[in-house]
Amino acid sequence: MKRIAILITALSSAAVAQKNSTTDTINAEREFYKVTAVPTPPEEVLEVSGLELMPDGKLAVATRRGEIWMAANPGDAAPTWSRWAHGLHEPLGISFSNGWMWATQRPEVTRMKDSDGDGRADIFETVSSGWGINGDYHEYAFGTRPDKDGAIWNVLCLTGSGGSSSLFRGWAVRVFPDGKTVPVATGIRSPGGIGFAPDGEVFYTDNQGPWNGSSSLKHLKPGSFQGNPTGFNSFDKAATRGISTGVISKLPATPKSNSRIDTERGTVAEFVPPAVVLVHDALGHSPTGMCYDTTGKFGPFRGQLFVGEQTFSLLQRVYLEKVNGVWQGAAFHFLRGFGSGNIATLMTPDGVLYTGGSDRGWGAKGGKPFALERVEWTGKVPFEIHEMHAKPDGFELTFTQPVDVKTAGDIASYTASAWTYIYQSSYGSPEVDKLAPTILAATVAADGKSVRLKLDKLTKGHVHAIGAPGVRTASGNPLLHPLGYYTLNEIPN
Amino acid sequence: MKYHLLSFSLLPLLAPALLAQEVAVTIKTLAAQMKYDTPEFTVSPGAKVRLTLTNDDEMPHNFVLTKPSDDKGMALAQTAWALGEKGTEKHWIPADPRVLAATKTVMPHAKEELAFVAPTEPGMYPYVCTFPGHAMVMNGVMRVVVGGGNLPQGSKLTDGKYQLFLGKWEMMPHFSLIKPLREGALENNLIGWKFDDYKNEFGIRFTGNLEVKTEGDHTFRLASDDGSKLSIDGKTVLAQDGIHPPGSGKTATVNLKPGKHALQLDYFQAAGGAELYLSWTGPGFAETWLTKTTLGGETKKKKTENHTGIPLIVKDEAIIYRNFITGVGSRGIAVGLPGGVNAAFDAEMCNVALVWRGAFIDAKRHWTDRGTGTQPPLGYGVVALEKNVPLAILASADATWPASPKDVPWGDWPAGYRFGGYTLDKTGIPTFRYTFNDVNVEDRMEAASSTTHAHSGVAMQRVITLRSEKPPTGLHLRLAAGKRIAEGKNGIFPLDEGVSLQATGAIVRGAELLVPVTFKDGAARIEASYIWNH
Repeated sequence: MKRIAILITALSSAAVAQKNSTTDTINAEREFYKVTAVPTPPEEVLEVSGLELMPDGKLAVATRRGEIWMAANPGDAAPTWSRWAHGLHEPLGISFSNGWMWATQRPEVTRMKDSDGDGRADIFETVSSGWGINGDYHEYAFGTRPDKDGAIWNVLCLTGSGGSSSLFRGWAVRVFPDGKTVPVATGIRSPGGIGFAPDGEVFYTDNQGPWNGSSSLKHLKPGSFQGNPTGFNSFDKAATRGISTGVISKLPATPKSNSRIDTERGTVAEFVPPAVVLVHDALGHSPTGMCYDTTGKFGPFRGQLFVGEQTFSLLQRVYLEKVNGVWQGAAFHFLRGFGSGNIATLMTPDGVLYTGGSDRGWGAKGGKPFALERVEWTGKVPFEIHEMHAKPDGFELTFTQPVDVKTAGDIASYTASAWTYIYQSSYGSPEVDKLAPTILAATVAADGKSVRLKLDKLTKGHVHAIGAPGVRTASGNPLLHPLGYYTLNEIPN
Repeated sequence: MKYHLLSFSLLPLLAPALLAQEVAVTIKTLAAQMKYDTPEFTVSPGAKVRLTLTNDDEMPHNFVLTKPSDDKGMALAQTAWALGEKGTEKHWIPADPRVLAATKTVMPHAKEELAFVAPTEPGMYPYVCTFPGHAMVMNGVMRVVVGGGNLPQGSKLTDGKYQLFLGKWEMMPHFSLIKPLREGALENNLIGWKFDDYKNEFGIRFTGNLEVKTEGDHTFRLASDDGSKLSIDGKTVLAQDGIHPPGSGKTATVNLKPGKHALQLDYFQAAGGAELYLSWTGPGFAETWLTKTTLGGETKKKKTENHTGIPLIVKDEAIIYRNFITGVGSRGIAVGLPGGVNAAFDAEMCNVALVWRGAFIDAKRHWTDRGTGTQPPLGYGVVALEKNVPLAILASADATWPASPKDVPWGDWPAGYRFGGYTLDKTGIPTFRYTFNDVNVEDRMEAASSTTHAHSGVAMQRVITLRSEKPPTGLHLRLAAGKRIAEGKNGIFPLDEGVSLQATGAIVRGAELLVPVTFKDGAARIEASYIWNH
């Protein structure tokens, strides 16, 4: 009896400790970024699925239930809400451009307008319905805002988890304002969001599943194959019906299952490997939309991507670089503890990040069925790994604050591990081919803002997790998030 | 609720057979809300009830009293819906032992009286409108309570208010020290909540006044999941703190003097089930619930939830529901029109695929969980029009109509067609737009007023407007196809049981109803009406 009591006490204090550590992390993060719930209209269900800032400063919020709401003064304690549109089919991406509200909804790209100025849209024009849907709930469509040519990029989820029963499922298509629809990529599985990097390149997130060992951020290079061949059947179906396959003039070679991505890149010429693996379990389960800041008003991470995560109710941070013509880079934890499952993210020109989403269908750690939140930089600079650069013999880490030369110059302050995933037609993959590279040297730059790490071995195609738990600032502070996950598609010469 | 107590003072003098209480109850339907105005009334066992259903709505309704059930009569209503095309003539009353009493169909702005004897067994007897799609929101409960009808209900709360707080608690917090997220007045002065956005980790402070008429002992009953605390005039009367299921509740008795007494009920929800029940009884009045939900009335909550939905209720503006609709294809655009008629447009075929009357649609399938499957209309008189294109150029009078494109998910779009979207007017009614080769087409539907149609039924008018700078010759609109078309006369063509189509200029060609499109100054206009005869 007594022993049991002791055991229970021990267990519950362990649970408390565990819980406190998460709470502590969230509290530590909130010192640098303030997260505020934006009150949504009473009794309404706003499962946020798209966000846009209007020219008049209102925040437009699209929902999975097919509505678009407008919040006047969204930064106030009590914004004024009004419903601008309803009756859309699960819009997953909205934007305002050239006087029109553009939306990618399940069956089509649509543009909308409030022509009589009564605060409600009255024109709903179909721009393109150039892809198939067959009634399967999984055939989601995510869209960007218009690119420099005015075209909206759309990623089209497969039918169910791993089938393709409708035209261009598992493809990306570009829709021009005149309705021209140009397929641009194949190999997509189950996207969770799509967006631009600051230079205009298009990236999307794809979820763990068949042919995806882990979820990842992928570069939508025109003509590329993204890894999942399930949607190849659309090529012949389109060709026999006289429907353009756009820039896909021929199908990529079919990859082998039970292989490695780095191996299959050798036989599938169009294969663009995941730019950044968003390590399953370590960083999240379901990555979604993305945004970036170019003003510096959102803190020190100018030009980097902030990627939403539905299941874990958080935001990740991604640094990208191009090596040997291929995009790759590192993912970091950024902010945890959001109210629901983040789906859409938006960065305003004032450096305010809005994010929101829902837990419907898949669950989210946040616990609320839906939420809309605002993230603002407090002005304090967190001590973080700022960038991770691949080098021929290791990595260069830059930091947001000057480091203490003694700890940063000590190889014992660092950790390194590496792995990859089985590239296979069955669902997901464990981490395999695990390695423990040895850190041979840590050289601190003269300005104290970067460290050059030399490793005994770099492995092409592996995720390299580099930690710096022992590194301190001059004043003795540790890193807020000491681990970075770098996807080494290419090793620079 | 309205009832009269008759013969109350004569009771001791009457023979037992005449002792039965006589009650008159009037229930009204609320216009454009698909609801009864009376969610609950109480009678004593064996009472003679004279019930009047006054229909102030624009749709027909009925009143069906059922045996006790834990689903608010929903399963019985679904049996009624299964009557299908026989429903209207049977007044949507199924031959079912669960039906205890029922009115016939009560048409808009009409009323009907129903006399019945209340069951002798005390309990909760649900009543519903069994018109398709109504029951999930159009229901109530008749409470049969010993002495219940003789003792009137006590007064409800007045000046009911709430404050909503967010937080994770295991014991009742001090709400006075926390800033509320929001506050407001209680709907109908009943304690309850409908915060769709918070199912866990919230707390509510309810306040209001209780009017005591007669001095004496008053008994409060409180049950909650999770914690609750009741105070009257600032003194704690009952507390059920901590995290727990509701159970059957605790009671406490307080002596209260006539006049106003301040009630404060604090409640918090940690996780899991969230329930709150509070009633009071006192000198001269029966147990009266101060909460929206009544203990014993909703214990099997989950089961009830399986039957309830998210019906989209059309009031004075049209509602659009774009989703997977049974019988329409994957690009369905359903429209609930003011006036009780509905249509679903198929954006692949550029044609109207379904029309129906009554309730619009239930969004629950697509707005909860992952949203799988297709959703049929909620109403009745559903007519499946054809799954094919509306327009074709016929080279000769006997040229066959083009076959329906079979396989749209793979891109076999109808040749020459392009769906263009829709515009909305001030009442939200859409005009669908599409092109067929060089012809711009608009297709609009609205409820037809009784002045435009000399018949007793309900009708929907459809206007198709075509414009072209190069009007094609041989263009035809096919409004319907089916073997019943040939039975038509005087320009009215049966489509289905009890539903017909009226179109000017229509010609019958075998089993097809065609309208030759004649352009004048580059435009043509075709009118058709769908008429439900009951």
